[in-house]
This record gives sequence, C-alpha cells and structure tokens, in this order.
Amino acid sequence: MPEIELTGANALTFPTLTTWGWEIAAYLFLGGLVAGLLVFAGVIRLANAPRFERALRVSDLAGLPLLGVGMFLLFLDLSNKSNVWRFYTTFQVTSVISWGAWILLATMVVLVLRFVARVPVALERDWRLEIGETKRKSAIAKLKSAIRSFLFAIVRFVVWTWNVAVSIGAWAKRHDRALALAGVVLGIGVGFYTGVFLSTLAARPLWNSAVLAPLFLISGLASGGAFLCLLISEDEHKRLVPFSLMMCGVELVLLLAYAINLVFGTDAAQRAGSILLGGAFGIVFWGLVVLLGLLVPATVEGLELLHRRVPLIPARMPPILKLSGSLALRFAIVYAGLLSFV
Amino acid sequence: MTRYAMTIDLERCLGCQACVVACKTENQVPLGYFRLRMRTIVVGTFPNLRGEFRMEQCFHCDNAPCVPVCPTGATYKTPQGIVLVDPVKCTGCKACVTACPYNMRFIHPDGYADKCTFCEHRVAEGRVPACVETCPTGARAFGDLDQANSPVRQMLAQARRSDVLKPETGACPKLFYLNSKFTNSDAEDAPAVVASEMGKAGH
Repeated sequence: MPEIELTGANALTFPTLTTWGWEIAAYLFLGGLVAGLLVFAGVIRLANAPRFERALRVSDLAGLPLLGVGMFLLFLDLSNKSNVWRFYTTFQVTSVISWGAWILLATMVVLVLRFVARVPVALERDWRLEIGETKRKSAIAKLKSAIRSFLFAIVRFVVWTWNVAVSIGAWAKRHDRALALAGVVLGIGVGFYTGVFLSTLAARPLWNSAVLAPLFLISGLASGGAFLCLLISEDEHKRLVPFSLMMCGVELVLLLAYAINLVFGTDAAQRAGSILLGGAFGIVFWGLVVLLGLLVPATVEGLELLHRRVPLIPARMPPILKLSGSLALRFAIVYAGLLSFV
Repeated sequence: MTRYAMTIDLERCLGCQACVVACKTENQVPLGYFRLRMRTIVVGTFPNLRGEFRMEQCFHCDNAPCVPVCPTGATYKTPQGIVLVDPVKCTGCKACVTACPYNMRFIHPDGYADKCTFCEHRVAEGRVPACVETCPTGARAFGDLDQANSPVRQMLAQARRSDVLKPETGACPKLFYLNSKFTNSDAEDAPAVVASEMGKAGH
C-alpha cells in the first residue's frame, strides 16, 4: 500500500490561513432574515393586506437593527478596519463583495426610511411635553444658565433631528408602494447575495454550487417568516402557516439537491461533501438543520393546519426551531467550507 | 510582452529552506508567518520509499482567482504578470485568501492580505528574487516566460518533465516544478495525508 506524507496547507496546520469565522456565519443568517422581512413586508403592502398590520410593524422596526448588527459583524471581520470606507469609493464589477457592499447600503437606506416612518408617530407627543417643561425650568434658575443653555442646545439638536426624521418618515409614507417594491427587490438581492458570496469561490468546493444562492434565499425567506411568527398575533400566525410550510418544502428540496450535488460530484466535491454530511458537521447538518430545523416544525405546522393541536409543543416552538436551523445551516456551511479544498 | 515566471528543479532541491529564510529576511515577513513554505512528500511502501521536497509560494497565476474577487481593487496584476496587493487599499475582507486554490495568502499582522511578490522591488532593479539568488544548488530560475532565451525558458526546455499544481482549477499558475518523481495519481492513490513536522514548525 502506498504511503504519502504531506505538510497540510490548511487552517488546521497553518493557523495563519484561518479566514472567516462566526461573524460571517452570523451575518449570513441576519442578512437572510432581514431579506425575508423585507420581502414579506413588501408583498403584504403591495397586496394591500390590512390583516397583517402587526407583521408590518414588526418588520419595519426590526429590520434596521437586525441588518445593522449584521453589517457591524461584517465590519468586525475586517482585519484592516480603518479601510472600511474604501468599499464605497469604488465598484468592482467582478467582485461579489463589492456588489454586496452597495446592495447592503441601498437596503439600509430603505430600512432607515421604513424605520423613521414608524418611530416618530409613537413618540412625537411625549418629546414635545418634555421640551416645554425644560423651557420653564431654565427661565427660573438663572445661575446655571450656561449649563442649561448647553443642555438646551443638545435637546434642540435632538428635536431638530427628530423633526427631520418625522418629515422623512412622512415622505416615506407617501411613497409606501415604491418603497415596498424596492424592499422586495433589495430583499431578494440580499438573500441571493448571501449565497453567491460563498458560491463564487471555486477554491472551496463545498461552496462552489449553484444551489447555494437559492438555498440561502429560501432559507432567509423562511427565517424572516419564522421571526414574524414569533412576534405577531395568533390570528396572523395561523394565516402564515401554509406559506411557512411551503417554504419548508422548497428548502428541503434545495438541501437535497445540494447534498446530491456533493455526493455525486467531482472528487473535490465528494471530499467536501464528506466533511459536511458526515462526522461532527454531519450531526449539525442532519440533526439541527434537517430534522430539528425543518422536519419537526413542518410536521407540527402541518398538524396545526389540519386543526390538530400537537400536545406538549408550545405554539412558538416551530418558529424558534426554524430560526435555530437556519443559523446552524450557515455555521455548518461556512466552517465546513473552510476545510474543503480542491 | 513580459510574463514573469519561476521554475524549481525538484531533482536539485535539497529542502534546505535557505529560500524560506532569504524571503523572510528580504521582505521582513513577521514572526510566525511565511511567504514560502515547504511540503515534504513521501510515496511508497516501507522500506521502498521515495521522497521529494516541494517549495510552494504564490504562483502568480495567469488567471489568478484572487484578483477578480477583491472588492476594492487592492489585489491587482502588473503588466509583467506579477500579482500584488496594495496594503493601502486592502480592507482585510479575506475574500482573496479564501479564493486562492493553493492557500498561499495570509493576513499580515498589520491587517492586509500578504503573499510572495516575486520580490517585485528587486525585479524592478533588474535583480532576481531573493529565493532564486540564495538557492545553493541553483534549483530555482526566474525570468520572462515570453522571452526565448530567458532562464525559465531554458530550464523548461532542458527539463524531462514540468508540472504545475492543480491544473484543473484553470488558474494557470506560473511556477513550474521540473523533473518531479511523482505523478498526480501517486498523490491521489495515497490513503493517508498527515501533517508533518514542517507544518507545525512555524507555530
């Protein structure tokens, strides 16, 4: 039997070759989740479905902070952080990351507009009351006028910013449908991008699959739906169940196609497949992603659809399982992919 | 057109790693990091074993996968075919490190992607890269692939065989291994791939 000894040239033997880590996996999850929220909210708005008011509010308010955290994680991953602005002084047509940087910026603009269209309505009145009180106090206590005027300037600045936000929010409300359409397009763009981000790297056979982009897009839409299901009313939740089941089905088909592609692919793809589908990653993939993240919630929701309440399983359990499965999918694919090589 | 390339005659290479040291000194490569590395390959059944040392570094591929993925244009190819990184533009996103099929890039402690430059600063002065100059057995040659009388072309013409790593990736690397004892199928048939002491030596 022949023997071979090689110095391994991967992250295990050369720690300096370690590249992406949890930040990227978590960002891919958050990006997909926000993509799902944007597409949902956009479709509901364009279809004029008033019964989903709470779902709309949740997606408008949660989208901005969630993608904000995601983009912050991308920033954390950069090893030359002071150069982050360079993403926005150029556009490299062949670089997927360059496309992503600009798509994320455009998405953030839409999310900010949606966010400011919501917040001022709820808080505007309370702020005005507080300002009135501060004015009266400052007229009485003259000795501390310097400090007070400084504080007042800050308050005035906050109020000014607030008012600008209110007027931008009003503009956003007037362009509701255009923003909804932009949200759907950008949502699909972000969801697709999270997959393409990995799949264009031919040096990593685990990622180099055309199925990865639609898989991450659908998984993102499903996690967006699951996130909404966690926070909306029982009534709205029930209406989303058929959609949620459909997403589970499509994701399962794509996962199957992805696995088949690996198992029956080239030698490099087969080696990559054995990393993800077997061993420690296999437990995560089959256990957390396929079984707990898709099959169990789909079964529970399927029974709910048939008006059969499953005993011992709380109503919010399927969405939580789906979100964990979606997160586990990103972690498994990112980490296993880094160990795969051509 | 100039297209710089390198050849390493594996029959002449002793595995002394003088090139690794010369590179580290010339390019001030930080402690624990290497632009060049050595693979030890042993094939056969004991006691009939055959071995070879294979030095690896950036291959300055004609169709370099690291260049198009860079989002800021920090990684680029010079008109002479040398792939370089501009640390001023690099954000450290690690797309190029992940895109390299040969795992030849790393993140410098200062945050930017780093790798072999074919000693571009020396080449600009008409000198050869430090690893070529220092090689005690003359295993390495450097020169213009498009010039018939260049050292690399002469070495290629004299060699019994020449190989590039992972030709199936389509990257068209410009570092040629000459007179290797092994074929690709030797490595493919081998059941075990283990990290040797070399991999651990740097860390």
